Amino acid sequence: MKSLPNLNHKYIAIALGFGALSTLLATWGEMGLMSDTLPILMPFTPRDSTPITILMAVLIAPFVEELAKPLGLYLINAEEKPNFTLKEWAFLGAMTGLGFAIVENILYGSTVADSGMETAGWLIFLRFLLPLHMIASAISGFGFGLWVKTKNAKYFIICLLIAMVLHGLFNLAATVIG
Amino acid sequence: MMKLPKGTYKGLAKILGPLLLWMIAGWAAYPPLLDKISLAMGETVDIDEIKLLSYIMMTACAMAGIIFIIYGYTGKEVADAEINALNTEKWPCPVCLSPQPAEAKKCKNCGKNIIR
Repeated sequence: MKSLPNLNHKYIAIALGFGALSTLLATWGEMGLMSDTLPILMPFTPRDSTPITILMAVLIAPFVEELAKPLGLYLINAEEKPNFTLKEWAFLGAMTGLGFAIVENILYGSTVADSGMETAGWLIFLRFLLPLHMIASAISGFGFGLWVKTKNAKYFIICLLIAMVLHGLFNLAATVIG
Repeated sequence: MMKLPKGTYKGLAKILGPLLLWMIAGWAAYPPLLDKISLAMGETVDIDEIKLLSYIMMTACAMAGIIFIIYGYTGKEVADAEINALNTEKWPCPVCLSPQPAEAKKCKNCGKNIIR
């Protein structure tokens, strides 16, 4: 890869693999955060489950998932101290998002498998056509790169917040309208 | 917060531009596929509302994608050294203890190599 000279297959595989593994961390975090915050945010359980679904999709899922996805980037930096360019960090971020999306899309597909394998296949296909996780993780990966290079964590926090807001807005549109 | 040099975001724009164009395909396929999936699941969806969302998102993604690609591939991308120069962190030289930039390989004071 000419435009990404410092990246090799090892780093891409680590980013993809830890992106995929971070789904476990995110699921655990989402469940924990949901069970801890729901009694405070919604003291009276509504008859309709829609507000809970929206709360989960718009606030909790983006917060937990965007924090979990760069796990591979933290490890690559801690172990190897590589001298990547900002573009390479953003690319690796996108790869963690792809790894996360592969596992999440298959999980979503499995939830509708009762309606037929074809339906599950269409849902997985549709979700792959919407690379939200890659976009959000590229932004946080870029912020991570800025943090590594300037030693100023504010850049990473700002990029992480942008990724969370983008993810939340996307989920809001998909939950409320779709 | 430190001001970032011109062209810092070009690297990110080069990654986001193509992804946003890829997303147009997803929003284009969204109404027919969602209709198909919800029918198979025995649910009903307001297809007109979904089509409206799809058109808005396709337009937004196309505009953002094109803007990112134009921005990313025109002009000069920031040099890595310019970003590294923003790191004001100093470490003492292990030999003479004079403060050195975090990325320094050689002490500017005593000339000894710094191994971290």
